Order: sequence, then structure tokens, then C-alpha cells
Amino acid sequence: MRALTWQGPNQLQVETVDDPSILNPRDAIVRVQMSSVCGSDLHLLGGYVPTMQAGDIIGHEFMGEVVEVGSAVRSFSKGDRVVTVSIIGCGECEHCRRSDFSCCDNSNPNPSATDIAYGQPACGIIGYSHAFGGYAGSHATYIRVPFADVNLFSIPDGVRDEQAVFVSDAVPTGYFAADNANIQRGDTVAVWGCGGVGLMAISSAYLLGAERVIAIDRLPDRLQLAEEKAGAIALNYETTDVHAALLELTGGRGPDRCIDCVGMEAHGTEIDYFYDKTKQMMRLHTERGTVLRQSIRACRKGGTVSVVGVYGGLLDKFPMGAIVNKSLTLRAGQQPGQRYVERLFEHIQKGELDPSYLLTHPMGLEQSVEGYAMFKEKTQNCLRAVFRPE
Amino acid sequence: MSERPKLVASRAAVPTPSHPNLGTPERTVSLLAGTLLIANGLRQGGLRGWPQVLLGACAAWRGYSGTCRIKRALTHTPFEQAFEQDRDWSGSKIISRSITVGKPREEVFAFCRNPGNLGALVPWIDAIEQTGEHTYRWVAHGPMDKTLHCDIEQNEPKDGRKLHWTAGPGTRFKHDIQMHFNDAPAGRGTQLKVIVACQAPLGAAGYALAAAISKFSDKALLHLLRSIKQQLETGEVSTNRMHASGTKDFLFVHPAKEAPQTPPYQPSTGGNA
Repeated sequence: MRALTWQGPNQLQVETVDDPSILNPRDAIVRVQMSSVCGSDLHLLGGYVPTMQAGDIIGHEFMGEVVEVGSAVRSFSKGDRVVTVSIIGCGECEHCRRSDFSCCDNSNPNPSATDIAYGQPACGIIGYSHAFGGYAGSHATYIRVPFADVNLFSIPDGVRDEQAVFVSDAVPTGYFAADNANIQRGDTVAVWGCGGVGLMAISSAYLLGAERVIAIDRLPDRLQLAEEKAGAIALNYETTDVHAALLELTGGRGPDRCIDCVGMEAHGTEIDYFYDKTKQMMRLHTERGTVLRQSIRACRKGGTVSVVGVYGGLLDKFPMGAIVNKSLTLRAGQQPGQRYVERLFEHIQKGELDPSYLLTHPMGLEQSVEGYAMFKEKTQNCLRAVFRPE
Repeated sequence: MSERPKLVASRAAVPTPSHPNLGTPERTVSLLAGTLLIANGLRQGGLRGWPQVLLGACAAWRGYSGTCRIKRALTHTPFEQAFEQDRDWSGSKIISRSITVGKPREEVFAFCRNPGNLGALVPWIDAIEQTGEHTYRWVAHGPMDKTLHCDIEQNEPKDGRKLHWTAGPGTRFKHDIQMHFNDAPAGRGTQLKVIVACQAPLGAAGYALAAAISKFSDKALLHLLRSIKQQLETGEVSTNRMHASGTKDFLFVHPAKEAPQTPPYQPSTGGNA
């Protein structure tokens, strides 16, 4: 089969690799019909996530058709049209039983790296480095999905492919961010980052009762989408003092809930950005914490900061004092999408949520290297390039 | 108030000048050697002299303060000392890992007492042959296509609560492995604690070597315990392979072979205890 493989930092290549096969009784093989880029892939591409190996297939947001199932798979059969949650749960461990699928104990076959780094092994993630399991990704003709009954979801009638594909990751991540923020009716919510996840977080915040959402980014096309498609008040941090603007918009209180949809490669205009960038380039720390610092500083006293932007390791100048002395709640995590998929499909079917506008650049898998270059450089107003394996 | 358990993780206290870990003879030797090194270094000067001054200053400080982090690192832990006294071993290096398996204790114990179940979860084990009522020969393939074997005696000193493995007579380096089974609180299943002791002869040098090797043992133990948990909770062991060949573990790449068979065991359905 053909697949997009990581060959080194900023080096991708489409090549012919072996087809996957059923290895465990609960596996399924899915023929990929749509596979999207994701902002978190850029951390892999930039070499910021260690434990990548040359030849690894990347991609984790996809939908397709089941072509083969293992002997223990009960809910799916050949021909089913499915979407897969990219964070793998086993469905049986203590965490999965609590619906905390992204804390799964059993889905990572390489537990040692995260055991050392984080204190306990992290879950497995499709196409996201060997520290998170080393699973082959979805930018390929076929993909093996472990624990199929837990991680596959049938796509209901009336939900189009270009809507369903984002229920794999961008939509549940955004929804999880808003859910984790503990939004109360009438709240003002600030969302940093207007990529696919950020836009879905804005829409989800409204679905969960937010009175007003303020979106922060620097790219005019994305800010325009945040206003027109998601109904947010857009702030361009390159032309606005974000902290002052957030206080101005909230009567000096600060947003009730702040959501970080950016993560370790945040950009900024202040001195702390250049400090972070320099230390990151020198490999002295792994994260650029501009958004995290801004959101903690802006959040109203007693408010909640919800983090779904990907952070991998260590961050310098973390404002712990503000968290303690403003009584903030900090919540974070990888998305446990299995918890939300059915609810999200209902929102889509009712017309309350339509993620299809995220797909700005449909392409063939053979053009995926160009697709990633466009996505990384944010050219041609690329929000999401989605590949269709031939 | 519950009794504080004996922890394998306990270490010798961090030495301070008020609580030194060096005796008077050690401190005297350090002070004298340090002073001599400083004097000789100052006399020589240059690139050969200044490192001596630095080394001498460290040694002098060691003697003056009575504290030595290296000695602390090479000091056997309280658990190791108690174990050595109990087993009459001259030295030991002990590691431990714990895991919670979301299954009843009886089920976890029954799985672990069958060597065939455990062997199937270790990638480099080829076969386990029963050689006596309580003795087994574990056959493994090692680097450079070597076949290794180890005779192990398995006992159950506490029915349903403890398994005990010891290396058979004639083994060059003694091993002692204990697996403790306890009910986890709030119906979370079974807490499994494994304590692996390896004989460490030749004093401090042997202890340092055993400590270095134990890093690999610890990783192997992590993988084994995760595999036990996965097998019992989900009925399979997770893998990232594309195919049933070319397995890789933390030691070396094995030649391609058939996929390891699923252990001859079917977990019960119905969840936690």
C-alpha cells in the first residue's frame, strides 16, 4: 500500500509499504477514505516529539470502511462506514470504565518512555511517535485499529464523509476542551488558536452554554472563520494587546474560562516568546508557553483554564503563583473522544454543528507532502488538508 | 491507623555535616589525600596541576564534612540489608514494581501461577519445561543465537497471596523473585507487587554493576507487568507491529518468526472484583 512516512525532522515521503494485518483478536483493518492533517502533526514534523523513527506512518484523524475484523470484534463487520477516535482506549481498564479513555492503561505497547517522563505510562495514540505506542498512522491506504469495538464508530446516515472525518479528532478535542472548562450558562470563554480544534472548541463552548466566546489568533483567514462560522469575537494578537482587550471585554474581570488550543509551538510578540523560542532551539526545554501564560494571567479569579494544545515535556517560567493566588482550576488532557462521538454525531445531524468547513484542501495521498508544506506554512488559507488514498 | 509497610523504595538518608555517613578513618584519609593533592597541584600548576587542586578540594571537603553521595549510592537499602540477613546473602540488588489489575485476586493469582502464561508474555522465552513437582526450566534465546536456560523453583508460600521463585542449585548468581497479591481498595481489582532480588557479590563494585544491570531488569519487569494487566483485562497484549514478525524488545532484535501465540487463557467477562 502507499503511505506518507516521516523520515526525519521536516522530511516526509510517500512510499510503498506493506499492508497491515490483523494481529490481535480485537483488531480491525480499515480502508482509509479520508485522512486529515492535524496541528499536532506539526510537532512531529518539527522534531519536537522524540521517539519518532524513520519510516513511521503519520496521520491520526480519519474515516473509512472496515475491510477485515479480528475474531473477537463484535460490533463491526466488513463494509461498515466508520470513524476512529485517534486516542486508543481498551474499554476494560479502570480509566476506560470511567470514560477517561485517553488515560487508558492497556493501549500503549511501549510503556517505558512515558513511564520515565510522566511517572506512569501514557495511552496509545494512532500515528503519534513510539512513546505513544508506535502505531502506524492513517495517511495510508489501510490502517490497523486496535480494540475496534471501543475505538471505531459507525457513521450515521445523514453525516457526510467530510463531516465525519473530523469527529475522529478535531471535533471531540474541541468539545473536550469546552467540557473540561466547566462552562456555566452566561460565561465568557476565551479560546487561543483558531485552527480546526480551536474552531470546534468555540462552537462547543456555545453548545455548552457560553454567552460569548473570544477567539485569539494571528491569521486573518482563521479569525474570519472564527467570526463567521463559529460566532466568536476575534482578536488578532499581532495588532491587539490581548490581555488588555480581554479585560476590556469583560468589565475588568477576565474571561470565566480560558482554553488553550495551541500547545508547545505557540507564537507571540512579547519577550517571553523569544525566550521560549531560543531555549527550544537550543533543546533546553520543549515547550513554548506563551499561550499558557497568557491564558492563566487573563483568566478571572476562580476561573478555569482548559488545555488541549499538545505539550510534551518541560516548560520554563510557568506562572504557578497566579494559579494559586487566583484560585484557578487547571484542567488538561488528550481527548477521550469515545465519550463524545455519539453526542457529536447528534449535534451534526441536528445541524447544530458542521465541521465540514475545516476541509479547505482535499488532495490525493500522493500530494500529501505538498499538503503538509502548505499546512505548516499556512499558505493558501489552508486550514486542513485532507488526503484521499487512491 | 494502618501499619506502615516495609518499602523497597526506602533509601539511606541523605548525609549532611550534622548526620555524616563517613567514619573517622575515612574522613582522615580523605582530608590527608585532599591536602596532598592540593599541595602537589599548586606546586605543579598548569593543566596538570589545577585538576589535582580541584580533585583535592573535593576530597578535602568530603573529609571535612563527613558526607559522601557516592558512598550513599553504594549503600545497600534497608530492605536489601534485611533481605541479605534473612537469606544469608553477602550482597543483593533489589528492584520492585507494582501494578493494579482490574480483576479479582483469585483470577490474577491463577493466571500468574501458571508459568506457561507468564512465559508467553516474555518475548525472548522459547519454552518452559516442567522438570519436577515445583521446578521448571526456562529456555530463552539470547544474543548471537545462543540458547540460555535457567532452572527455577516455584513455590506458593501463601495460597492466593504470594508466589515465590528461586534459581535452582548450581546457579552462578542467585535470584529470588516474590510476587505479592493484595485486594485493591474500592473494588479496583488486585494490587500486584513484584520484588526481584539478585545476588551482588564482590562488594561495592558488584553492587554498582548489579545496579546498572537492574535498569534493564526494571524495564523488562515494567513490560511484563503491563502485559499481564493487558492480557487479563483485555484478553490480548497490545502491539504496534504491522505484521506478525520482526519483533523487537529492549535487548535486541529477534529474527523473524511466527507471532507469539495468545496464551492459553481466556479472561472472564464481567469486570472487577
